[in-house]
Amino acid sequence: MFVQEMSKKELILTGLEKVCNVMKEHSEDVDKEGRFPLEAISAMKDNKLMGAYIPKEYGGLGCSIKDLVEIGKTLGRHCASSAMVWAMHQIQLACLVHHGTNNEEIKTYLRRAAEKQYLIASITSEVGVGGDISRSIAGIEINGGYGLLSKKASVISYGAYADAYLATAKRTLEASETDQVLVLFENTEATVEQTSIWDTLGMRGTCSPGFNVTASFSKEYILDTPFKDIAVQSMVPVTHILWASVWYSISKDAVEKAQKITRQKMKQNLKSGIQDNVNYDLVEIHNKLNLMLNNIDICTNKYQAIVDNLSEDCKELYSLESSIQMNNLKMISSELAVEIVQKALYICGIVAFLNQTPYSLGRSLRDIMSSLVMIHNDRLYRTSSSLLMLQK
Amino acid sequence: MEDKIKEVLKQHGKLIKEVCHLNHEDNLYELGLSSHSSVNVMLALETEFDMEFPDEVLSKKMFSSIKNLKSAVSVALER
Repeated sequence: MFVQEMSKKELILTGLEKVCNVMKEHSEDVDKEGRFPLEAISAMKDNKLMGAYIPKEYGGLGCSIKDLVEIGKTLGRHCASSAMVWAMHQIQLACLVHHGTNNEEIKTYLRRAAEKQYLIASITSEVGVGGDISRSIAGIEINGGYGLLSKKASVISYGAYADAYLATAKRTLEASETDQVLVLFENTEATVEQTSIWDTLGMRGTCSPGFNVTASFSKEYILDTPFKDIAVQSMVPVTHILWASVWYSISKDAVEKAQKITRQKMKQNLKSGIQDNVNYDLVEIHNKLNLMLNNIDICTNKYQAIVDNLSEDCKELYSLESSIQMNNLKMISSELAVEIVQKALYICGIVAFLNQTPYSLGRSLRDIMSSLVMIHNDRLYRTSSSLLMLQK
Repeated sequence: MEDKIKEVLKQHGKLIKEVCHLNHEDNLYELGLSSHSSVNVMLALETEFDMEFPDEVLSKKMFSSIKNLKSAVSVALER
């Protein structure tokens, strides 16, 4: 069957299988060396998965948010770092697709991004504002038809490997900290100087050190929609939904390992004459996995319905209820995922504690710990606490 | 194969009827097989025949009679 005759679903499933096989082959080395997962990212590009969220009219796969979630739920089990890189890139695509297609330059870029399967990194962090993406110190200097930006980013995931960047900045040098825009520029238009080292407990392949960035770009690449609206309508919900999907895939893998080990132990017990075999811990983590899944699916379905009518329904995203729900999704998914993987390790015992066994959970545990601190849940708890005071 | 299946049922099925008196089509659930004991039967069969039941044969119906158990074990052994 020719590729263009295959349905989107067939394309995704075929591509996913190939990508997962590549991930399995290289994930250990990526983690050990803390290196960028070149092979997995290449496989994603070869199988058109990098352009998953780009609409078909621009040459992408035309995936919906729900499709992205299904992909995310599969990718993470073999290489969480690669899966996170993919997810973070889809978030950038969502910002461009939702807010950039009234702009001919952005549309042209999307066509190129689909054809070449470009990888886009996010430059929202900044030295001096911590993890608060709603403020910027660096502003855009407009010079005729061009903009110039110099920004000290504390973290740019896969910053050294991106084909392009989406950066937040003050609208102008004189604008207030919260008057932010989002601008797209390609790596050929930027100087990206690494300022720190990424040597971490987990997610080692996301390669997210700090960078000083200087870029010069046509001002046509500054998105019209204020960043604070892009954040509410796209960046925050898609981020939380896709991160949760990847964390879910790590958790599911852990539960399945625990399930297999439990079966083996029960068989041994039966041989020894022990008939009453129960494992409450397994039930507990399976319940938690189900909770995670249900929460992700509910938030995804709600957001998908809004995204299908973004200009009309998006005011719902500004509601207290929606903000709290989206914050909850990140907080609770991360907490449940960590609990699940920890307990799965406990259930499996030594075979999971050892590396290089079929039940190893060391890397899973290290990777999933990132979910609590990137971004730090404390920030979300504080925000939700304030929002809850406003909610009657 | 049938003897091994019956031996497993004897050890783990907790049936109210003697296994040697069972017919192929007797409904095992009506003879005392519970969800819990059916799991033990399944695990013991996997150990006995050194195989794993494929997902598609695992169902309540699989355990409902010796005939169905034989069929499921055959499918598993072919894999």
